[in-house]
Amino acid sequence: MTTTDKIPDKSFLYPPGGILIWIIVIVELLTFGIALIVFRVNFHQDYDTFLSSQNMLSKYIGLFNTIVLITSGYFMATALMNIKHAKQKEAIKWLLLTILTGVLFLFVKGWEYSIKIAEGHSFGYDDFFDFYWMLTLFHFIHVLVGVVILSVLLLKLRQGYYNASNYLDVETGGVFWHMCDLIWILLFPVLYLLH
Amino acid sequence: MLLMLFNFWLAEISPITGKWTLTVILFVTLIKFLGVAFRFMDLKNAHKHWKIIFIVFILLFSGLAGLI
Repeated sequence: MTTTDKIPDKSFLYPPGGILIWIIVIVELLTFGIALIVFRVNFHQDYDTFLSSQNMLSKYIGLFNTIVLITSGYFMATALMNIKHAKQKEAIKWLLLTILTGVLFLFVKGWEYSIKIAEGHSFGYDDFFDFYWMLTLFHFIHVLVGVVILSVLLLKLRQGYYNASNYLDVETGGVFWHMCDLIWILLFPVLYLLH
Repeated sequence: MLLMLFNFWLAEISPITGKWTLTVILFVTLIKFLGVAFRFMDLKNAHKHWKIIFIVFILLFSGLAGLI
């Protein structure tokens, strides 16, 4: 189904963006949620090591990236709203901004990774950094995939493929993008702030 | 955005410490999560069962993360 106007309103089987992406979101949230709870258990069991390693993280970089990603989520929501209101040019502008903020997130995260590697805090340094690399790198890959998806959507939007009555793909891509946002909202406080 | 900055201030800058700061940070995380899900991801326009799934997930997550 490509035309969203045929979708029954508020049906369990047809959430905004389609049921498949919502199942993916739930599975992803459960995966990260369980991993973060296991991280908290390990933090509690080896408190001193985890706390000293947590203090080595660049918290201002983490905060900056959180602001970037939430702003990006706002841009994505605005882009979709503009498509729904048949404002193609506005939608292209907001989608491009979404991609650019996504790329900024990846760039800053990559910079943070390079600092950590230069300091010797790479994978295998201790249990805390094992969790840090596993969780943030997994999230990084999601954002990278999200940027690719949004770039394809932008190209097709510029070609006039999507309009006010055909925007399901953009909605699905948007849900994926917000999933990256939601995962980071869980990762940031647990990895960087809670002790 | 303000909630996020408040969270950061509470955890890193403020001299206030104690068990309740953890509770506040997790509560703010819960609000941010639901805010993004309902406003940006359009959860508000999804069926009530989807809303329940998301709310139960974040309540369980915050509860467990806070209790450990």
